[in-house]
Amino acid sequence: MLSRIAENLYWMGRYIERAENTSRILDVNYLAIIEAPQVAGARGIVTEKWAPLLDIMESKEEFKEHYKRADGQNVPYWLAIHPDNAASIRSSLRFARENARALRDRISTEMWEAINSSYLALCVNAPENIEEDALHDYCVAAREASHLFFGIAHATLPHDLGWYFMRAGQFLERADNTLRTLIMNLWRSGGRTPVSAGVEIHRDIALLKSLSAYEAYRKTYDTGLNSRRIYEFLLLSNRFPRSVRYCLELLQESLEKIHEENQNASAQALQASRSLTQHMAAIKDEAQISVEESPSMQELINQIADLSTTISSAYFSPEPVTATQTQSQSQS
Amino acid sequence: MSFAEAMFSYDLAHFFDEAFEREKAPRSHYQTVIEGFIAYGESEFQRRRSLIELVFRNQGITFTVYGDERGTERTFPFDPFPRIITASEWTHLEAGLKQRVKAINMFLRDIYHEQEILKDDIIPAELVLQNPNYRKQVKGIDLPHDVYTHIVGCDLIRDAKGSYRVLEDNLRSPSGVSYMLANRGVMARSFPKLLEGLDVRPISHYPLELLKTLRSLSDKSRPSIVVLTPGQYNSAYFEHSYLAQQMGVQLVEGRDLFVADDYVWMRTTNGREKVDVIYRRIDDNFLDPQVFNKESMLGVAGILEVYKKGNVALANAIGTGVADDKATYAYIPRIIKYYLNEEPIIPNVETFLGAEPEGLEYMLHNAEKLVIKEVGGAGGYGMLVGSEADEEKRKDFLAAVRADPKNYIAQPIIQLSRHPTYYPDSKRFEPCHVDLRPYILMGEEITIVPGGLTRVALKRGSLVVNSSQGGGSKDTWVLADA
Repeated sequence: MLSRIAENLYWMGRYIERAENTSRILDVNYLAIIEAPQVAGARGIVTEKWAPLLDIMESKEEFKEHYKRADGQNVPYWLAIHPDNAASIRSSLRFARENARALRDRISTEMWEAINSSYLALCVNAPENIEEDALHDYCVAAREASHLFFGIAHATLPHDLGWYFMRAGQFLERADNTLRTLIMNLWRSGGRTPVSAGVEIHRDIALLKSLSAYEAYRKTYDTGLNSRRIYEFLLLSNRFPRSVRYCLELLQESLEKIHEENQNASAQALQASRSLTQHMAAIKDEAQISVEESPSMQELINQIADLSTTISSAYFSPEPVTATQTQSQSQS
Repeated sequence: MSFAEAMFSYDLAHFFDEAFEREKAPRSHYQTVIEGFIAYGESEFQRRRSLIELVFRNQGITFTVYGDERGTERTFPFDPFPRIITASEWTHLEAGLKQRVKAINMFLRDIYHEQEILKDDIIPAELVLQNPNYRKQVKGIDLPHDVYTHIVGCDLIRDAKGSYRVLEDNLRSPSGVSYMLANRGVMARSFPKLLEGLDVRPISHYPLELLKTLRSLSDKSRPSIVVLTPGQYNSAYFEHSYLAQQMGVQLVEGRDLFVADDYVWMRTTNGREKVDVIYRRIDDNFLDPQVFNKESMLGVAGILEVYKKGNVALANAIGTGVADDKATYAYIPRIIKYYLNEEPIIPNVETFLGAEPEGLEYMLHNAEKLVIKEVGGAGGYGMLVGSEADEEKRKDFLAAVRADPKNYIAQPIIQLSRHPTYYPDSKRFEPCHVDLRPYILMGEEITIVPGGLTRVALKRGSLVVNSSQGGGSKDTWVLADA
């Protein structure tokens, strides 16, 4: 397969997944904030909690170039819709569509039409501000756009090499994003020391819901909500489609298939992926990550980023890139 | 007025009509199709016609509209009344086109080698060697089978007497063949009875013939062939991807290719893969940023060196543009005579050369009857349509011609033949000017798939058939020998 095509498929998967995950993070934060004041004494803890999102999304510097104050209007607008933010939901969808456009004759018409109409609705006709529930609506629409797209892909795209490149991008991005969501949650709770039980439960429910994990969690554990169990579920579940361990396994599965058909290419990406999944498999409980920080979530995020670079050099630029050929993707 | 009457009733005026000999009197080879349309009846005709647009859109047979940010694409207007060419007409055209491309290739080989034709003063050396499309970098290179123009799309027109003439030779990267193929597919689906009623020669093997032509440019038994496109934003991208898909070869962009160890390679997920033949749909100027346009992002740095070593074949060859220049065009009849010692089977449109005293004289005294064109001009610039300009404008233009006569040619104002074409607004067939672009493939041998793309000037009264200016197209049927 042409490297350019593989790269387009990989990034199309990543960008659509990223749009979905950013919308999840924003939406859960938004819901947490509007619901929280009902809890006595919680106002100071959960209001004005938008600023840390800039850290998680690695967007603080750029944000400061555009805004003076990180408030409940500016931050979500910046992260969801601002066209100058390359990581906004809107930009992610735009990049996804650009990749899809280059794949018009490679992906199904239905896939193209799905991403193109989401692009028209959420990028070309994006809301001018996020007053009232506009943010929530926007986030829900972005999440649904992703589900529709991947659902159509599953049903219409041949499950061949190209499919696995798209899946590799999708699950690498998802593992990364689940980790970021967990970090944000840790930060918001000020570490693992709950201020009040009410806030704690409220936060846990929001976290689970942001990853569509509330019901699945309840069915898996009959012990009620428990922060440690929630972390265990989201980091180490072998079944749940957004848990970090499971995403990394699906990523490895894709890379195994890719390697099978590309024996001449460097096996480094597959090896790195295998060692990452083995690493995750060896972790006994969530405290090893969230308390002992061995590895920390940030370390895991870094390892995933390294893996993406390795995938890139193994399959997308197998030969030295010359000066005339530097039009590749803008990353993360 | 009945549907049947609507078909037969328009004023032929002083134009040659493809379908009608006299008013309401169809030419014999059009009789069957006209009866076929009448047999469908008006409402059935309308229903089938309206399905056509849908077929084009569903198949994604579209061209990109530049500057449209909404990601929409347009379909190329299609008219269901096919243009029909008799077997004997086609035999004549085929012979004429083969003769023409054969001579043109001998000419190209000569001017990039010994330059005998220049030494014999048949064509001014300056016209060739100073031409911006003459690529001195490829002088002395020997090409497989001495062929330069592997794919040619000659534009043919018919004058008021019905004689075919060559209007342009398009020797670089002619487009439109995908529409020729799509049009047949759509006709077969929408009006099957019309096709069944006649012995129409098939064209669907064009991609296979193209592949055969490209294969013949390599001495390997299974050469690696690619189609090189400027990318998805090019207006002809659909055609590039369609041809690649139909031939079963990779569609690549410049950035997918690179030069190393004296070969051209493509970047794949499984490492580098050698490329032997490139059907390139980008101009010479953009092909190699090391040699031609330095700014080009579309090409492959260093490819010229590989080409010179004979390690990659390009279709079409580098440097063919010098032969489809407006001034060189005027010399093609003499080129045919020089290399083949034959009279041209299909004549040119009469052309007067400013470079020649008698041509210049005629031009200066008959400007009101002529179109005078600057040799390097294109797209309607640097051009005087004598009948439309006023006295002062003509005087100014002629002063420019006098100052630099060799930079101008003149042609009589051409009246293209007309063909009945359906207009949904008037619900009638009306006469439209048409041309014909057959596609000539030349590798080890010359192959022409019968017919070509018939382009129609849909704007009432217009002579301009280009798709960018409101042109459409028709299916073109070449009849087998009765």
